[in-house]
Amino acid sequence: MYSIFSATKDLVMKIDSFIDLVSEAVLHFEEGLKLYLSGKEDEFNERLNIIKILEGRADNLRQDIEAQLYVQTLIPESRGDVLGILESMDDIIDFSKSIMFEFFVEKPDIPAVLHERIKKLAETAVDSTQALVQSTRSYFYDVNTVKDHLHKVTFFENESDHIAEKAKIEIFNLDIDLSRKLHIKNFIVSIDSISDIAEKISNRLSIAAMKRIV
Amino acid sequence: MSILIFLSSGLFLGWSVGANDMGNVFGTAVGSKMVRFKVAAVVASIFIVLGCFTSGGGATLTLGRLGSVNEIGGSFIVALAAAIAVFWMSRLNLPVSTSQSIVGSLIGWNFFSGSITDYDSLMKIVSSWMFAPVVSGVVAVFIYFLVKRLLNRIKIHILYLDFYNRFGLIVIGAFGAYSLGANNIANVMGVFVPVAPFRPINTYIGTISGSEQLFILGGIAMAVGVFTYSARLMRTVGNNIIPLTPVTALVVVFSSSTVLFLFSSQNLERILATHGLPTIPLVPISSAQAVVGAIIGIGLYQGGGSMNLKLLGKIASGWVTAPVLACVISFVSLFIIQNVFNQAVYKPVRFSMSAAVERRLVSEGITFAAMEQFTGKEFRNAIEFKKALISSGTELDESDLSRVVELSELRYLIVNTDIIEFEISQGWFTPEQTATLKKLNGRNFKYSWELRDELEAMSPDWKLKKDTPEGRHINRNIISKLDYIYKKFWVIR
Repeated sequence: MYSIFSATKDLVMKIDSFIDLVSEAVLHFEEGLKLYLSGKEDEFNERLNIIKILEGRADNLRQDIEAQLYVQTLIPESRGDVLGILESMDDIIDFSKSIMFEFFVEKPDIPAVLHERIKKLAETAVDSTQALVQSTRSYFYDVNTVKDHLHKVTFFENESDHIAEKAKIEIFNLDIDLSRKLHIKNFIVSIDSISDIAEKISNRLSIAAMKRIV
Repeated sequence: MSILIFLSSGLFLGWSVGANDMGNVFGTAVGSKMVRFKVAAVVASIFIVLGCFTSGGGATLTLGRLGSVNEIGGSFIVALAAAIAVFWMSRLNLPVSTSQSIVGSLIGWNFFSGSITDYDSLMKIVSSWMFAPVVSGVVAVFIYFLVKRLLNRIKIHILYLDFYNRFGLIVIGAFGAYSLGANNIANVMGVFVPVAPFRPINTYIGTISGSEQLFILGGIAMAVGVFTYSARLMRTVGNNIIPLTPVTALVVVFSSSTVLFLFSSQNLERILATHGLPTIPLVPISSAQAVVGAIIGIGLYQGGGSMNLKLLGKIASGWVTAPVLACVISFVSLFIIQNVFNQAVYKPVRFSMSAAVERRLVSEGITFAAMEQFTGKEFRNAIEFKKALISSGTELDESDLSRVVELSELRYLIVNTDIIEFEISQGWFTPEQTATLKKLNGRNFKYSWELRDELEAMSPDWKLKKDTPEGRHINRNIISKLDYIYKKFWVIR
């Protein structure tokens, strides 16, 4: 019985660590982006490497959690929801990493006038993810408080859309090549997508939480 | 050899009990996928066998419900008929009460042998169909409400909750399996104890007596029933009436076991009484009806929308069908066994109101106008005697009428303690009770109440106590011992 309990304890720790990794990865993403915009390429590359490592660790943890949940047939009624939510959260890390990688490869030339707007966009996307992280923790520990955090995800997603729209208008008002405009716009769309992913997960989380409220 | 054939129906009944009743104990755990069927079956088997083995070997146990059947051939058929009825219901995935099926089967024997059916036990069954689901449902809703509030208040990780839930389901399931074994072994193997062909076996942990081997065998039969046939029924109970979450699964088993413990535990009644506490009135509740009632209660509390009403209707009809079916099968089989296979299935009991009976009736204040007309007359069975009494226009009420019939039952008894040497050696009787019986060795009695009067007069150990909860427990014990010796000392003339 003790070994089953310690296995449960171990799994709880793994899930907590996984959620920490998601939170950490998006913070690195935000910092990395700020470093890129300030022209500190080396430090940006360091952040990219960190996020790559975090992505690998998150993948391993998620697979471990998945295997343990199935093998020990734990939380049968919520297993599907939990695994789905964890997989989608893993997508946030993957997506953040791929945006940074695109910055690394394509090196978009962003005019200084857009820097603040893009930083704000990244901050808002990260805020929506952090609100999601909080509501996911609540789902595991105190399901009744999930909704207290979920509305923040929606709020930040709307904010992010709003900032992205403004940024796009600003880009196309600039006197630069169309190809450059389109290039920068793609990055804005990508950064904005992070909060869209967070919102999608939050919708799923909201249904899962309703199912769990006995 | 014949004992082994007779034993087979007990084993079949054991198998049926395992296959059907385990659905109530582990159904919600397996149905909600919290406990794997294999785990449930292993835990259940271990605890059933433990329950059978440790439940002791008192006289009460050997009687079981089949104790009133006075021929082993009859016991064979009564057990077989109940087993077939329960098996049939298991095939239809309907949880039914084994005890009620046995009572149904016994009523079949009563009809066949001309014995009078105790309508109290019939009423108990009928009231249990309505009472058990209601009480259990109300208790389940109350516990569900408390659990819901508790879970909203405390912050517990989903996985820890899952762990405690699973642990609770297995522990309650194990207790359920233990009591299933302990309560049913009397029905399954009780009648065979005095004729068990097994010799004691010496093991490292001690000697396993013949009767204990019989109980283990009965337990194994139940365990085989669990492994081979209970899986589908578990799913019916566990997930088909309403979809159960792990928490509701635990609430269902917990509340139904609580109801069973509070309202039908003679031990609890005795413990409360010995500590001078008020007792809870005992009411007939079977686990099948308690579990289904608890599920219905929670289903209604949740709004009732997800309830499978068609299945509920089927289950409720199964409760009625099982005892009726057992009764019919029992009656028909008894007829066939007696007339085709020429086997004795009951000892005929005659009735005669002698002068002694008349005196006794008068002393109890029971008199009727046509009394003299019956004195010395003999009747072939209870039903015939009762009919004659009624047609003579007696003004007696039902209970007095039953008393007249009861006292007039001719039962020639010759006290011979050699016949119950085995029971004495097993410590079934107190030393005082044994000494009194030995003093009466060789004495003849025409009516069983004469022996009882004699025993009561000679020893306080044979005297019935006042009808208090504590006294009731002692009385149940004395009455079952008396019934047992009436059966053993009985000689047919």
